[in-house]
Amino acid sequence: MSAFSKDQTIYKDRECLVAALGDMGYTDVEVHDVAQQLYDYHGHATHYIDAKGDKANIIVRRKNVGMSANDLGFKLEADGTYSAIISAFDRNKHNDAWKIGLKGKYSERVGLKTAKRLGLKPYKTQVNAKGQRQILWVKA
Amino acid sequence: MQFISMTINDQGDAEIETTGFAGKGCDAIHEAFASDLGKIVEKTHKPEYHKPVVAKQKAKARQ
Repeated sequence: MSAFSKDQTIYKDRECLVAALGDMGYTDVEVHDVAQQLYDYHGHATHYIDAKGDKANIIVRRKNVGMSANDLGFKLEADGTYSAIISAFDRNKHNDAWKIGLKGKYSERVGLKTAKRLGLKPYKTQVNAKGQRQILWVKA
Repeated sequence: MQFISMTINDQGDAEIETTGFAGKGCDAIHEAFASDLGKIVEKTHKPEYHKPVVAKQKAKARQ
């Protein structure tokens, strides 16, 4: 028997999300158990989604995002998932393609972690005919 | 041999495929990946790689 499953990726592993941000070029990432305030390019507290001020647990500060950028944040929600807080100003850089890229890196990081936990033996990594990254394991 | 492959699709989501597993052995693998990644949105069982299943299908076809 063989089976195929398509999984919808949801950010819920902090370690893998930070690693995925690193894969996307953001190696200087703040991680906080208690959510911290996000700031815009003027250094003012942002209020995109929260009138009291946007707060996030995983933060890429604006100096690491780029010129005239705002902080990029991921807030830990009550259900244990992380949601992105991306300013409208930075959506040119953090556009849909960037978000898909981050999700792909995160999915790969989580997959590698799961495979290790299950004791799967790495077999090979390849790019398939569609140009998609593929990782294969053998069950020991 | 039992193989597990993970393909990162064009939406950044993971597609898990297991081959060479007998019975429901592969379900635990899919559940583990789905649990860590998020949730399964599509699942298909394919008997073509499992020899006993194929043999059974052929025998049935011959009857």
